[in-house]
Amino acid sequence: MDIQNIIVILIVLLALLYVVFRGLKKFTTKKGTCNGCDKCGH
Amino acid sequence: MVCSLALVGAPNCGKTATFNALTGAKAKVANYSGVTVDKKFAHWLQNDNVTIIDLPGTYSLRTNSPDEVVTRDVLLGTRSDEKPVDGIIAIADATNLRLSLRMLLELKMLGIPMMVALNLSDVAESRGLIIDEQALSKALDVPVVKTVAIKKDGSKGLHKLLSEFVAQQPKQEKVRFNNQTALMQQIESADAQALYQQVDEILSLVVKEQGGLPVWHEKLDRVLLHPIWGMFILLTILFTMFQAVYAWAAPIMDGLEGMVTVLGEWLTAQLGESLLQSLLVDGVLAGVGGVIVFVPQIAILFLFILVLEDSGYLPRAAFLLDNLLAKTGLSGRAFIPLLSSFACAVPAVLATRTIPNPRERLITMALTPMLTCSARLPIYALIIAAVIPNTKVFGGLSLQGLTLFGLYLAGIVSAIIVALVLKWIGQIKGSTTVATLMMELPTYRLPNVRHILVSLWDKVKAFLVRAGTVIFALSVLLWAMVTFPSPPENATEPAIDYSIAGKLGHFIEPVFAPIGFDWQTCIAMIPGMAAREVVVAALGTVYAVSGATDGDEEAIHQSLIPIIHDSWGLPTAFAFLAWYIYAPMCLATIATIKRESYSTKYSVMMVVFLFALAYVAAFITYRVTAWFVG
Repeated sequence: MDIQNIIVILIVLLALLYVVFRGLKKFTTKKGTCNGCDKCGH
Repeated sequence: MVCSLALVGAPNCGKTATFNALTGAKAKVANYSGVTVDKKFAHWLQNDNVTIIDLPGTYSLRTNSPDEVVTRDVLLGTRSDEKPVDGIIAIADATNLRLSLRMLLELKMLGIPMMVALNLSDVAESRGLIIDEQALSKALDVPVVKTVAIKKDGSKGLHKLLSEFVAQQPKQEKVRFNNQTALMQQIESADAQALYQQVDEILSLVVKEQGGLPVWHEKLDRVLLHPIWGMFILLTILFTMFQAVYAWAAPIMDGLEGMVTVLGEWLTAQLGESLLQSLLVDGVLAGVGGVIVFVPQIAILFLFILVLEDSGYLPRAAFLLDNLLAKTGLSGRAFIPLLSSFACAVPAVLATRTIPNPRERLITMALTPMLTCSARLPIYALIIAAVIPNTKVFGGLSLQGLTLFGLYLAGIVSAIIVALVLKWIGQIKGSTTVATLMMELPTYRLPNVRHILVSLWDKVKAFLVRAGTVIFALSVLLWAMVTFPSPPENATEPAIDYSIAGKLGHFIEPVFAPIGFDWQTCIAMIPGMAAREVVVAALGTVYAVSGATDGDEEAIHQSLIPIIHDSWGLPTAFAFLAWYIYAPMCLATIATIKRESYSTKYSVMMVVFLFALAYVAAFITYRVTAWFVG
């Protein structure tokens, strides 16, 4: 397989993993655990 | 030695500024009360074993609002998620010592080791108010130090006191309460008269020179709080803000757009027509690049908000609008959460903790998504730039700026109407009570340039980080969805029609066709649920891939604005704007509302309600505009 196509597949897989991980984290955060790190951009 | 200290004090006395100075954290600081609504913790800069806890401001330990209860419970050690604290850093406002002293005397009753930081001492001195810190230390029998938390070296003395406290910790006996209820009863039954008498005695011992507010302060308040002039000035400030967002940002935006185009052409030249080139140019650049060009507008909007916040003007706006809010069944306490919504609905929902009445709190939560958050700015800016001519009207005012002002106003008016309806429903059920606004107006001050620039950079950085992470990832996924599977060899339709996204878009298109949205727009709105600005990135990706598969070379190299201009009619563009005035909040806001309301039912109700409202508004807008356009 062409090296460029392998890079494309890797980028898409990483993006998918990131979105799933972020989504799970957002919906499973318990109340009162925000310590104001500002990483969420808020 | 591991130990924890709690920062306690009245609202807006500089607790969070002290927290940032002691820990190096960058928690939000503003010149009004109610900014901190939950505890925050971080390690002391000089010793990782020492934890500093920033608590919401409170005037007394006798309290009932959800944010102030957090402070009381942490101090009494009744929270299961927090160990009892080993010490208290009490922050007293040097410009209003009388108010702080009552709280200090209540804290003394707890018997927890305490030190006092006399903050805002520079402002007090500039007004001629001189406080003898040694006499105060003697009167309270605790160490006292003067601080100016927002200045670089303003907390040196406090760091020194903290070092001494930590050094004594191994010898210090831990204070643990066996009967918190009895202790609270003792505090609550304390004779208020006797407490104030004690406050007066201490004041007479420690205040060496009485200062006062400068005369200009009162004169300015007379104008800014005037029911007519004050309102006129408030509207003028907001109006200027939206004009500036367009006028000042335009050259930088043009530059950024040019850079994105040049980078796309360079990548195409290097990689040729390939899958990787398509991912990078049509997916990442069209998506992330399409959002990044709006950074200058967001920065200008935040610059205005930060300056107004730091100068002490914003709480005065709350005072001005209290009467208006009362008519809608809300109190002035709802103003700060509603104001925060213009930045982001998540902190706004958290800020509703300052509202003691549960019904009013829920209504305020339901209204926050209607006020325009900064994530909607790129959407508004994109559509306005595409369909509203860049002309001057009414003697030099930008028509685009006016339209943006109108969209913000539409959100505010809608929130007022919904609040009125909810008040009416409440009246039928007999469950409305309007609390009066009790709010301490902070003193005016010249905005601190360092604080403004640091806060502005934090906001811009947060937006760029989101563009480089969430928006990047969603753009890549959307690109994959609009690219795969490839069309069959004997394909007769454009390639994108055979992709997952193409099929999905065509499937949901009939639902949105009555409001004028084509299948590309439907597809872009799905990732837009993660964060609203992603819609712009998604439109960029969908149209870039559509253009590429249609073989429309010109469209591939065009930025999103002319594409929207050419392919959307005025009715669709206006309906899209109407949709995003009410469109359901992002996932982060839904999750926060669910956590804060303790109710899945309420959060689902709010989402369904906003969906319905957005659909109806977009439908009416589409039909009315189509009728006018002909």
